[in-house]
Amino acid sequence: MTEYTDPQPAKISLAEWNKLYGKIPKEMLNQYKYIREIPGASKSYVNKLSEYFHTGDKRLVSLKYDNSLAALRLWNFLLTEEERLADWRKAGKKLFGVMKDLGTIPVMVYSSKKGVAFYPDGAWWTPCFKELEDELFQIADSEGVGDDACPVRATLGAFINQKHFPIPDLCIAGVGSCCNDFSAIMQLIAGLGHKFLWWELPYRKDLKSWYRRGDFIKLPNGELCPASLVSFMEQQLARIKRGIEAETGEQITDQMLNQGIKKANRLRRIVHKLRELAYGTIPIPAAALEMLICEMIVIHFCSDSEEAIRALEHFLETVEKRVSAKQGILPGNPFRVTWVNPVADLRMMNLLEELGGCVAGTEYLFSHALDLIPEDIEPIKALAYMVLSDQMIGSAEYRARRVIAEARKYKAEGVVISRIPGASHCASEGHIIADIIKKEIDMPVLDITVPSLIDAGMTGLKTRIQTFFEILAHRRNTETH
Amino acid sequence: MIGCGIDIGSRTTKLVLYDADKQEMITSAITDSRLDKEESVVNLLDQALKKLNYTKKNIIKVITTGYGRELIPFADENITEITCHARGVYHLLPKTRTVIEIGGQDSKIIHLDATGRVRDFAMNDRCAAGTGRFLEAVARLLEIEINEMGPLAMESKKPANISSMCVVFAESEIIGLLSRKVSRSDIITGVNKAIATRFMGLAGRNLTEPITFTGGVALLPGMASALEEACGKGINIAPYPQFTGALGAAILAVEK
Repeated sequence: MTEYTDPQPAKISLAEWNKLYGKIPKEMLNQYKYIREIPGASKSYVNKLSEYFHTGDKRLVSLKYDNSLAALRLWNFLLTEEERLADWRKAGKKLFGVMKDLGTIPVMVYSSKKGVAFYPDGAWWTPCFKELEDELFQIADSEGVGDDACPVRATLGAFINQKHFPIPDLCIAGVGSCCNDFSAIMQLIAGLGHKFLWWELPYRKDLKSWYRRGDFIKLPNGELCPASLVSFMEQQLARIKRGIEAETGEQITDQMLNQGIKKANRLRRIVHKLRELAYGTIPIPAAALEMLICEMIVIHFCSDSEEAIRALEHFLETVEKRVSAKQGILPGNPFRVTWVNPVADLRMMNLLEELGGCVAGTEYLFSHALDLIPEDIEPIKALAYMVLSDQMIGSAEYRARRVIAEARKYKAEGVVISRIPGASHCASEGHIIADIIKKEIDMPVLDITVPSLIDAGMTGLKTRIQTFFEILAHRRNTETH
Repeated sequence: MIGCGIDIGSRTTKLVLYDADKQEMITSAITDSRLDKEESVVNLLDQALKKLNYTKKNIIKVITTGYGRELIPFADENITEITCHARGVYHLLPKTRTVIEIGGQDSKIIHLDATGRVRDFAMNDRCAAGTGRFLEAVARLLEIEINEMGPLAMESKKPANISSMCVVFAESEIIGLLSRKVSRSDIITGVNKAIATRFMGLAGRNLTEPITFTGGVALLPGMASALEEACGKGINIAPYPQFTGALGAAILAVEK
């Protein structure tokens, strides 16, 4: 096969990628395939990114990308998910729409040979990619879910117009300790007549005084949890397992679950290494946007667990090479920030870097999904631990602790709390997290709101971030002298 | 050594020349912000230089700030208005620990450390409520000039209750108050009170004194007292409140 070497690391535009794409040997691109396990359905997927622009992903022209082949593969893997889901269905797989749970239920689904999991609420990014031309928000508006609700309301629109992901065979929806908007949106989707399996996420309480009876268990994230909640969660997961089995007609044995857990951990270990290098090395070897995609893939495997592992391994290999060669993708010595919450507009991650910052640690709401799933206990119990480690089902203090740990680990100089407009969990949680961080580690915190398109509010966002960096610059100078 | 600071705000553009040797502002100028920012800034600078019989060579550095700070190609650097207001206020009132800045388009709370550097800040630019633009809308409804609002507010006997801080809804609320013969002075005081209360939501509970109020809205008599009432603390008004951003930029120009 013809050799291809990545150019010096740089962030490039869509137009620049078009030129570079022509230099990559076709046979090299053709080797990257999804759905490899079913030869008839297997498909090469690494295209010119501009092709997605031409089919409606208008936002792509405003973004800057990592110029490596591995990053191109990663982007293509992300952008072909809906197509892939349709291909899986044609190949006879059952599709499971997972809602609210972040990272655990897909491990169960992918333990089955006949199921594919995805997150329909991933549609919250569609209005950004399509620069609102998808009209998903307008459809949600017409259903009475306006812009005072979380952008996941786009999911409701996607279930109604059915122009995006295929409608799942079964939706597995967590309620209980879940943000109010999403509970309501899931209920509205179920009201459309789609098949739902509901389960309950209990609020995680660790105050021993509240639970005078019974034992406590230390979860993989280090938090304590009453044993009674673990038992409850095991029952819930067993019920979900039965639901998946009923839909696929295939029994999921403990051995299959153990294999599924091992595969998930393999993916998580790759992301661990990537995070260590991207957030812990200078010069910075990977940009924030590509790292956001890598972290996101951990929760849903982007609807192909095998190819997810291969694509991430490829990106890791690229990042490792850069670290060995002391090559960075960002110039100079950027301001290091730990980023809290995923952004509704991906352009925001570019903007952070354009203004002189870089990401050093994250808490994207699902950081429990980055933790390894215990492999030395019964699989259902191990998965119950992971559900109960969810950052979203404890108080804001849990999240603050995790953010502090990240900031310390990656030597951040500041924390940016990026709020999601309308998201009920974000409404006041940001202030609480900010206060705890300031009090405990005396670190500057910037609180911003990032809508699905930041263009109209760009001036204000720039002012906030630039001021934040002016504060960090002063702290750097003070510490130096 | 002369530093030039230019604050290109949403409503007005301000320019200050600062003499580092004398440690004082030697001239200032203001004009309405226009579509062609560069042209109005060039005119403003020419006027200021002519007044002092200086040329551009006398200026060591030009720093722009404000919402249009990136639009002036000949500027040596741009710095945010938050940092510049903080520096300007610190120069004028060095004991200040909290700056309240209400401008034409946004409002800010800036916390300073003992050296006058920004420690923390919060900013509202998501809606016009609580900004100069809101006051302009109120003045228009009351059929008065904005500079008449202050003296009228002093005549108020019983501030009206304004519940909505959305410009659009407040408009219908004010129309309702006018139809009920509520006096303009009571409406203005009610508006000031509502702005102050809303601003305290942004500021939070822990305002460290001394507090200095700056920005164009600080020129309106009655607003500072409304803020004092809302936070229960004393508030100083910065000298030349419209110019503290440009002054800070000019000082930073010579310091850098």
